[in-house]
Order: sequence, then structure tokens, then C-alpha cells
Amino acid sequence: MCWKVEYIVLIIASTLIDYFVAKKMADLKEKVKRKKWLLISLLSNLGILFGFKYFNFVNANIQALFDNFNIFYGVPAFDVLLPVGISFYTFQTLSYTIDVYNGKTPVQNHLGIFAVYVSFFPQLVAGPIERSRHLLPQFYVEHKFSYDRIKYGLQQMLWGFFKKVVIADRLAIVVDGVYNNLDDYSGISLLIATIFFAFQIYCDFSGYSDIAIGSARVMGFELIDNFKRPYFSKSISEFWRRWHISLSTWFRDYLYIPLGGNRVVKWRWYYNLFITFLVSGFWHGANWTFLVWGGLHGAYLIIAIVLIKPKEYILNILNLEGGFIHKLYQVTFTFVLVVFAWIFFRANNISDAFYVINNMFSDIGDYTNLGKMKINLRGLGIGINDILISIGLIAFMELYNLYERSGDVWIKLEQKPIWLRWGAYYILLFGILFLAPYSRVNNFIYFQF
Amino acid sequence: MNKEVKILLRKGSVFILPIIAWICIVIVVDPFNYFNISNIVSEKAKEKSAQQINSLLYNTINFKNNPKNSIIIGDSRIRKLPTEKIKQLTGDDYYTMYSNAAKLNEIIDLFWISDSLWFSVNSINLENVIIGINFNLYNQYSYSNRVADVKKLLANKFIYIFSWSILETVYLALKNEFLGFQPKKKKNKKEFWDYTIETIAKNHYSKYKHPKETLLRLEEVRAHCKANNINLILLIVPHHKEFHNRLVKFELVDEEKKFKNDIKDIGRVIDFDFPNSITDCKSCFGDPIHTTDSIGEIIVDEIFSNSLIIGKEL
Repeated sequence: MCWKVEYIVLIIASTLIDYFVAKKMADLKEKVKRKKWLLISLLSNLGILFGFKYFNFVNANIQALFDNFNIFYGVPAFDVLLPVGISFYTFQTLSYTIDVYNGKTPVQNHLGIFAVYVSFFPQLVAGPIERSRHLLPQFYVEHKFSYDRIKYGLQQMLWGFFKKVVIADRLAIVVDGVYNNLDDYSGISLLIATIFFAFQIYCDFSGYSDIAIGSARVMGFELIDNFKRPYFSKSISEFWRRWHISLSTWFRDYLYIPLGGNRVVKWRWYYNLFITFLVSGFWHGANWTFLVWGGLHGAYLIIAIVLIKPKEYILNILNLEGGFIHKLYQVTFTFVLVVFAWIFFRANNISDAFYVINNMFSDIGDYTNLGKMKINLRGLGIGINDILISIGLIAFMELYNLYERSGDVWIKLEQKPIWLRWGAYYILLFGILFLAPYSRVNNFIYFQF
Repeated sequence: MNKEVKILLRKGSVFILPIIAWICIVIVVDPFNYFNISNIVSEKAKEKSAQQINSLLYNTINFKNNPKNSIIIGDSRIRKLPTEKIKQLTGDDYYTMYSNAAKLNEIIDLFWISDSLWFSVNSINLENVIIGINFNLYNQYSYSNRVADVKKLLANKFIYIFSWSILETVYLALKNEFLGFQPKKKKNKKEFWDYTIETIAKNHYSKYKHPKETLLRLEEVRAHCKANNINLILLIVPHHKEFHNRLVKFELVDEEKKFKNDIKDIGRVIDFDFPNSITDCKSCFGDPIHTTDSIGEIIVDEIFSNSLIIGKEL
């Protein structure tokens, strides 16, 4: 991860603009006048985001378009680094201004506290994107030292570190090795790398969220949950209620609903859904791959709505509704759709994504041939054992998630004898210490957004 | 002090005890002589365990503790070259820097590590370097990255203490020291011979790509050796002809020629892997790619007495 200390100016600018814009809006009664101030906030915050994150992408595409028609286009690229956490704190501070505009949150008079809200370090670089209504009041509460709270926070951090350092970084060896050298791989290697990526990004991002939530809890702050076992979702809409919750609710509240949500004619509803997911994809990165990823999820949801009645009809005839087989099918089918979309998210460009799709099943007859698999994976510097260990770790993580369905694992563990509790802590702690692939340390994936 | 703070401190202190205990055990057992301050476990138990679990790390630390100006770098095949015999012939004291199943990119990494370790002690570069290199290593897919791990372990005591291979080695060293050495299971020569010809050769040759980047890295080694008067020899050790036949079956004969042609420009190349009296002789090999000790002596004799009879210079 690269950074420049000068970029601190950007977060200071966003903080000051939104602080004063919100104060100004609070002083104004007329909505039209308030709207002007809101526009100032939106334009300046999104302008900064555009300049640092999207300008070069748009510029390169205009350049390519002009080149097609042999027209000279001499606008140079902007030589900048993507400031750490810009997408996250921009959305966090914008949510405050929009809420003040809508009268949903009181204006914040203390600049220092507002600045802490924008730059609250546990969640600054990769969320959860907090709402002012939830986080700001907590800065006014005295946080007394609580052994139980600190312990609970540390437990969540421990699990977060385990997911990131042990599982995600281990899976990254295969994923990065394959996706960054696609020409060298086909068939089973592509399939393994793609499935591994689904778990890598989950462990990486939910691991970060756990660390953020845990460290905030140690200090006495409660952040919102960002993940709720997303790969057990039975539909794409459920997936989005369980995956990156703080972002999907942000888009729901500040884009989807203002566009009209589902209280409009059908075609407009589909349009609202599609646009919301397209923008969500674009939020992740300035690349066509993210746009396709977002568009795919939008399309999944529209198709699901269109197919509601035929699906109900078929399920009634087959009498399958609600049974275990039906649920298993729903979870598996949703997972397959999500994994398919991840191909675009992870691929370095669109043609790479199509290479993966076209070649993933090229040697399906040899999927169970371990000898061939070993040869296929040559060049990654890992063996079949490493793959099996990774699969074991994924299974362990999903078993944890299953156990969590009936309540918080750490609270349940409190009822168990000390040897079991401490045994669990030591398994995670020594797992982090001994199983982490230290020579291949990876940044958190969402740090790039 | 707040009662709850006291509880946290008390439980926290107890909780970290196993971690402190582990740190002490690693320092005391010290199977790789990383700290080099404890002799509680015998050198024999340490070496046997460390070589079994992580020969790359053991040999690198051993070189760091006892650096020499001449080295032989390669995979397990170069272990057959007797350094005592080289000393008798030339007076130069060679160190064998090898790793089991080392890949060419790792061998190059080992060259740079060895040179920098020697330089850090003596402020001069190495004098003589022999790199064991065979066609089966000259493949883009023949890749591993264990030297990066070794570098991290050397640079960071914390990572060393909490490394999986240290955990395994400490256990094995203690077992060897206190319960005695377990006799090594003897491999059935015929079975292992057939396995090497069938499976290992297939692993090496069925997926091939010319290693463009590795060749560039070899050229950097050549430039460094030339600039610092390091005497560089690339040695192609013999394989039994049955192993070579597999390369023919995978239609890599032209690639093998290209390999020999490529490395000819890197340094002095001495080749023993072409049809000759060694590659024809089954009893000259323990398995199809590892010669016996006596063949190792012949190779050393030919190279260092400057009279190539079986081998040839490319």
C-alpha cells in the first residue's frame, strides 16, 4: 500500500466542508436554500473522489474513443495515488450531510467530535461505513473500563486476524498466482482459484470488519455489523442483506430510495435496481470489471423479480417449497451466481474474465485426477497439501459461521469450561502465529477502494 | 487500581505464559543455531532434524555462522560433490549450499544471499561459485519461493520463533535428543526408480515454458560475477538415460538444446548430461537423477584437475 502524507489535506477538506455545510443548512428553513448547500457538499466530496479515483479511467476511455476515430485528444493522465480510505470516509461524511438536509440527524456543533467521526481510525480505511445517527452520539458517552467489553472486543479481533492472516492470505497465494498469470493455467486451476477468491475476499474483508468492530469495542464503541454469513444466503437479495451491509444500506438509503425504490412502475423499479448496483460496482473501482460485476448483480435481482411467479408455480407443483433440498439448492445456486460475478471482480480486465469463464471447464474429465491437478498447479510454488489445508480452513470458517447461526459464538463459549474457552483462544492465536504465510503478506483487498 | 483492570492484567499475564514458554524453548533447543547460544541439544540431533524439515534454512544459517569464499549452489544433486576432495585438489574450502528440490529461481536467490552474507563479514565478494543446473530446473513452471521465507526468518526473530517449520523442527530435535534417532526407512530402489521415471519426470516435463525471466536473472548473476572477478561454473550433472528418454517423449529435445545454448553465455558450462559412460550405467545412480558418491568424486576430479574425460565444456 502506498501513501502520501499530503493527502491528509483531502480528509481535512471533506471534514471542514461538511461541518460548515451542515451548520449552514441547519440555520436555513427553506429547503431550496438548503439544497444549494447540499449540492456544494455533494459536488466537492464527489469531485475529490472523481479526481483521485475515476478521472484517469474516464480520461483513458475518452482517449481510446478518440483514437478510434483518429481524433487527437491530448489530456494527460493525472499522476496520483488513490488516497487510503477515500471511498469510505467520503460516503461516511456525505451520509451525515444528507441526513442533516433531510432532518434525520441533528447538526453537530463540535468540530473536533465531527472530525473524529469522519476519521475514526478503526473503520477509517475500509469501513464499516458508519451513520452519524449511530456513531456520533457515542462520542458523548463516557466509556468506563469494562473487562467483559474489552475481552469481547479482543475475541472478535482475534477471529478477524485469523480470517485475514491465516485464511485469506493463504488463499491469496493460489488466487494471485493464477489470476495474474492466466495464460499458464486452465481447467481445475481456474476453478479452484475462482472459488478460493470468493472465500479470500470474504475472509479478507469480514476479517478487517471484525478487527475494526473489535478494536472499537475495546474502546467502548459499537460499530454496525458488516457481514452475516453471506454465503448461506438463499437469494441474491438476501446476499446483499448479509454482504458489506454498511455499503448496501448506504446505497439503499441514499441512491435506491431517492430514485424511487420499488414504489414506481415496474420498468422504473428495474432501472433503479440496475443503476444502484452499477454505481455500487463503480464505487469499488475505476475499471470495467467492477461495472460488469455490479451490473451482473443488478441483472440477477431483476431476473429474480421477473421469475418470482413462474418459480412459485413450479415449486407448488413439485411440492418443494421450504424443504431442506430446496434450501440447499437455493444456497448453492446463489453461491454459484455470486462466484460467477466474482470472476469479473477479481480479473485484471474484461478479456481475462472471459478467459477464465471459457477455460474453467476445459478439462472437466480430469478434475479428480490429483496427479494432473498437481501438474496444472505447477508454477505456484505450492502442492496439493497446501490446497487441502486451504479447503480445511474454509470448512473450519464455515463451521464457525454455522455455529454462529444460533447466537454469538463468543457469548456461547462463555458458558463452556475454561479449558475449552482458553483452548479455543490458543488455537486461534497459535494459528495466527504459526500458519500465517509471512513471506507473502497481502494488504487488505478493500484498502484499494 | 480499578478491579476490572486488575482482572484484565492478571488474566492477560497468565494467558501469555505459553507464548513466553515457547520463546524460551526455541531459544534453548535452537535447532537451526539461529541464536547460537545454547548447546543443550546435541549438534547431531539439531542437524538431523533441521536438515529433514528445512534444509534450505539450516544450510543458510550454517553458512551465515561459518561463511566460506567458495560455494556450490544447487538442489540435492550437488550434495554428491565432495568438498574435501575439492580442497585436496585446489586448496579452496567450498561450502555446499543446497536445498532439497530447489528450483532455479531459488538457486539464484541463494547465490545472492550467499554473496551478501560473505560480503557482510569480509567486505569482499565470493571467489568461486559452482551452480548446479539441469534442464528440468530450466522451466518457468519449476517455481517455488522458499528463499523469501528464509530471508524473512533471518531478518525477523519473531517470525522465526513462530514459524511452522521451527515448531516441527523443535519437536523433532527434542524427540531425536531424548528418544533416540528413528532409523530411516530404506526406499525400495526399483520402486523409487520407476516412480522417478514415471511420475517425477512427468511432473518436470509435461508442462514446460521457456523461463525468460529466470534467464534474465542468470544474466544478472553473470554480470555481477564478471564485475567482481567471481569464478563462475555452471555444472550440468548427469541423469540416467531412462530419465533423459522421458524428456524426448515429451518432445523437449529442442528446448534442451536451447537451454544449453542459453547458459553457455552465462559462464563456463561443464556438461555431464549427454549420452556417455555415466548416463548409460544404472549402478552409477542411486536413482535416475542422483549419482552415487563415487561418480561425484569423478566429476570433481574432472573439473578441478582440468582434464575433462567424460564431461565436456560447452
